[in-house]
Amino acid sequence: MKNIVIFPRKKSRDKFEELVGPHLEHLYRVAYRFCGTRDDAEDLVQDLIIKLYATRKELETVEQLRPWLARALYNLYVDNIRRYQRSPIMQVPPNEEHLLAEITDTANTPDQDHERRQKLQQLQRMFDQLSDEHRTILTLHDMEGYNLPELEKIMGIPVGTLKSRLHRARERLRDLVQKDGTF
Amino acid sequence: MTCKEIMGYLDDYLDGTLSGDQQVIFSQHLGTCKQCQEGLSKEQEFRQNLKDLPVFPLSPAFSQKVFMAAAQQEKRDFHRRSFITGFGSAIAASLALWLVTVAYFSSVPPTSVDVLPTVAISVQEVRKVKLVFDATHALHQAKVSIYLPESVELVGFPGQRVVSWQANLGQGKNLLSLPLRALQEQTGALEAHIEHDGKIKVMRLKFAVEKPGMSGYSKPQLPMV
Ligand SMILES: [Zn+2]
Repeated sequence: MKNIVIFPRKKSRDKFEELVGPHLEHLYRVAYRFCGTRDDAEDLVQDLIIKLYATRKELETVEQLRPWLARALYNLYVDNIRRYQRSPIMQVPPNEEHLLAEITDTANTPDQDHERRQKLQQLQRMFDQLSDEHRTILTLHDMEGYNLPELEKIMGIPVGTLKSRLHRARERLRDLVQKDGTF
Repeated sequence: MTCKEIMGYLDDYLDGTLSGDQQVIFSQHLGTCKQCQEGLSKEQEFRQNLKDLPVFPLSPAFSQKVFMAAAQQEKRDFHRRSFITGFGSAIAASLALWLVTVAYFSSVPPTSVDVLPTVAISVQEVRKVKLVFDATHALHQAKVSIYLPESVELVGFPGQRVVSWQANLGQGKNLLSLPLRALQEQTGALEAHIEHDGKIKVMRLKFAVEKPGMSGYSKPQLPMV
């Protein structure tokens, strides 16, 4: 007979962290591709985590957490761009002004061979010019490896539509790159 | 099939969505056609590059911070749901340079310019510069223009030296977020112009663009003008 070990009941925060923690890096990567800067990507992920925490009981019943989380991230991103995309200015709510004093430090560029880094930077610049729609589909499909049936669930858009959107997004990016002439 | 038709199936081939028959035709053609082979390897390289676009590493302790923030947030504001997906938590996680300035407008052409401290960023780095603009009263349909130095561009607007928006400013503090990419090692100055009702406010921010990996932010500067 095996020993029976009785664990103390986990605090619900620990449980939440245990569930979501392993996917945090992935969510950040996707957010980074969507947003283009670390600051925005971290903001988006933080918003998501806060939102999910409020309904953390639900998470425990989700079978495939990664695509489920990707979907939640995507929806939040789409909500946010609807809200903010028109102008780079937003008002600071009066009760949040204290947050303006916060600052943290910087990161270093990952070490890469110079020429390739420059090439990738050019590609990044072209990628940044794509519409949100095109950026999100390329991120999820071509960069993060979700397939179309998965994306149908994540984005709530039929496979056929996604497929043609994907083609157009690639075409547009290839076009921009070609015009740029770096490659 | 002609080369052109074959190339039309390239995406499907790489996505693995060709049927068995199509797959055979595609592979047979490719086995004998140099031109299409080149087309294929070019596309493969393109896709690999896309996958390899660098992602800045998460800031240290982000994971701890974010779970703590979630727990605190819940305690703090049960009733302030709108805040959760809105503005507030967003700024908490930001890495940013904050420059707070108080709004006073001069007539056009500008007679005064607020000169802000110099910011150092590295070539090829994307950073957000945030300017906080304090409006004494709401400004409807103000025009916000950013004039960029050669060494820096606004993400999503390559090659554009001036970018403008129409925006409504609320009374109080307004946050202007500018994702900037440093292109060349060179100093320069960015200007933010906010125009409203024939009046203008100009802020100038100097840049020192440095070699990759050199940059750092100085402590937050909060010049209360
Ligand atoms: Zn051929």
